[in-house]
Amino acid sequence: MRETQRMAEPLIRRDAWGLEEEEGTWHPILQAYALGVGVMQERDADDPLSWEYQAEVHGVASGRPPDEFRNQCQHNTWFFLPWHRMYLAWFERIVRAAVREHPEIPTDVKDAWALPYWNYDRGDSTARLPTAFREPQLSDGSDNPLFTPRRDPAINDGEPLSDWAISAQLAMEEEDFAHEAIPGLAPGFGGPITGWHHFGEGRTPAGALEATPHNDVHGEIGGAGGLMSVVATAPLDPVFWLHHANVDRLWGVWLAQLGRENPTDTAWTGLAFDFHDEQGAPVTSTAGEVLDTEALGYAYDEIPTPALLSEPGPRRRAMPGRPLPDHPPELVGASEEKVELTGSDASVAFPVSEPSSPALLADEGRPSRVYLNVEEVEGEQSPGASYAVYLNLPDDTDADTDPEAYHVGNVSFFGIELAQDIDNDHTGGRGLRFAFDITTLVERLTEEGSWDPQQVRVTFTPLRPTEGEAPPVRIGRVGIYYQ
Amino acid sequence: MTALAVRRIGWSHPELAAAAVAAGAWALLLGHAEHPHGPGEPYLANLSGWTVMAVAMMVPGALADVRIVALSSMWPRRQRTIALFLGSYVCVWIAFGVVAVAAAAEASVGVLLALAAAWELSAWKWRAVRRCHLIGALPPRGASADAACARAGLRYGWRCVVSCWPLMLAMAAAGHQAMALMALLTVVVAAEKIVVRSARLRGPAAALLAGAALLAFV
Repeated sequence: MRETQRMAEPLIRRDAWGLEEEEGTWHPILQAYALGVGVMQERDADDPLSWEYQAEVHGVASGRPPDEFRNQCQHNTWFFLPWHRMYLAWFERIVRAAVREHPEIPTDVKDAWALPYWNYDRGDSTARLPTAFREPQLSDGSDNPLFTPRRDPAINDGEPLSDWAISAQLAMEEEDFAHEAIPGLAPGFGGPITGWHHFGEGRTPAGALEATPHNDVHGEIGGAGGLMSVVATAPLDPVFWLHHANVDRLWGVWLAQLGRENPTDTAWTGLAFDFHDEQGAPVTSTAGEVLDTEALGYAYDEIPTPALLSEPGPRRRAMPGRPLPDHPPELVGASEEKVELTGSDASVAFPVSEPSSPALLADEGRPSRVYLNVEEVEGEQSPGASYAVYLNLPDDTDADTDPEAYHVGNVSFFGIELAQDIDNDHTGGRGLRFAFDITTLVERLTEEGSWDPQQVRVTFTPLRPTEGEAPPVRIGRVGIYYQ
Repeated sequence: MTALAVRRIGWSHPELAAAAVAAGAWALLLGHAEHPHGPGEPYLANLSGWTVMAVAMMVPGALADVRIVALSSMWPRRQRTIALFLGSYVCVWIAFGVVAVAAAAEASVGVLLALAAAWELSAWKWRAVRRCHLIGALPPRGASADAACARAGLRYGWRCVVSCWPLMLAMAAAGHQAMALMALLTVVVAAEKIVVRSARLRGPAAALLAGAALLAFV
């Protein structure tokens, strides 16, 4: 981004619930956001500064012609975090320009305005959608631009997001930013190594932070068919931007941990993406230009150290503390039949063979890493809420069983509509794919004597109850890879 | 490079054997380029030449997909998976050749290349290209894995035929000794399969094919 646009002092992005706790529903920063969004919503859809155009930068509805500015969002790739940081930074400047021109907003608010974020994982009631997004009217009785009925009704009624949808703990445990995009391998914190990657070009899974909380929160807010559940419409919901500001903040939290680093490869730092600035002029940004948020003109009010994150439970995703092997993962077992998810529990069992690859045989068949893959996840429509995935979850007859001890991660459905879309130029594979590192869980199960290679069982449980039958989703294959 | 390093490349790139087969097909065709083939030759000779040409032209663009299919298979089945998938795929092109070699024997290469240029600009063409990549996950072992793999190769082949039929009709008319045209069309086919957002290539590909059509008329 351009040097001349740097600001002397970064503006502070603040937590929306913190603002509400301070001055109630209509804190001036949130009120100014509402008014700024309202101005953008009034603009013509072809205006790069309009609400609709900014949403189309993320994704265009099927059949709409994309260009170098629109349909550009990066998902299931190591560009996910930097692209969305660029997207938010330019969007924030566009909103700020609208805020600064608005006659009803006080000067001190104009001077301090920065995009708020929504930290849904702060405890108490913060997992509920901030009230300013649930009120149909502003304080003066006019329509509230931050409200949309196109969300899961329960979310607009103030129900909290589910605990496992909002927790970044699994992502924080990831040691590496990115891994090679190769079948079996879990993609790391930020996503698999790819080139330009709108959504499905490379049959790749989402990085750990993109998967949870990012994808899960999209699905829980949007529900079945809501704005936030669909790639092309998600930014039309004003809370999209606060959700992504939180994801951007969590990138900073991950980096604050010892030993965590961003990639330095020029393939990552140097790829340029197109946007518009607040004057509507075309600009480009690269990952290398957005690594320092203060140089972009903003900082977060709080980047907690990992110790301040939620207390670790009996998690199985702590990384094994060994370097990643340099040979490819080997499929050692997979399900034979498809699994259909319709809103209730489902499970599948299959045997796992001894490994056969030379690298693993050289190590007496003991894998350095074990991965669970959920492949070819397809459906006509996102059912909204995610499913928790468990490995060898005991029968629920045992009251002492803590399901969290068997929790692998979540299967979410953000973007499922694109996974087999052949009308847009980004098809690279069939269905969504998920890859989880389950090394320490398998090691623990083995120590406990409850890892039977002849009977590996994977269970899917909906994170939120659905009224009636949820839109069906099919899983083509569940597999175990050794590396 | 040590032997272990070479083996390691093979671990990550099981498709290299298939790449070697495609290279062999090119070598075979180059070795026989001076030998007169074409419309005047017996049908079976032309069909055998077509088969080698189909391997040379169609396997390179499929290698990236083949790699993913193989790496998603059980380790002992990786080469079996590749053989079944590519075997089925090439069979579809041989079946196409059975008709195309006879049908295009007297056809104008220029007209068929012009048709291929026009096909590049159609939505059907690019839907077929995208469908090519929709390869489902295969069962892990046994006869069901073999059958699913063969079916996946057949589907892949059919979608590839829908994507490339006019272009390969032109090759059927030109004959497998038309090495320069064959090289050009192989690059087009492979790029359309491999390049991200390859529909951006529709204009340049159509222009290239139209240019080749003009040259064929001269």
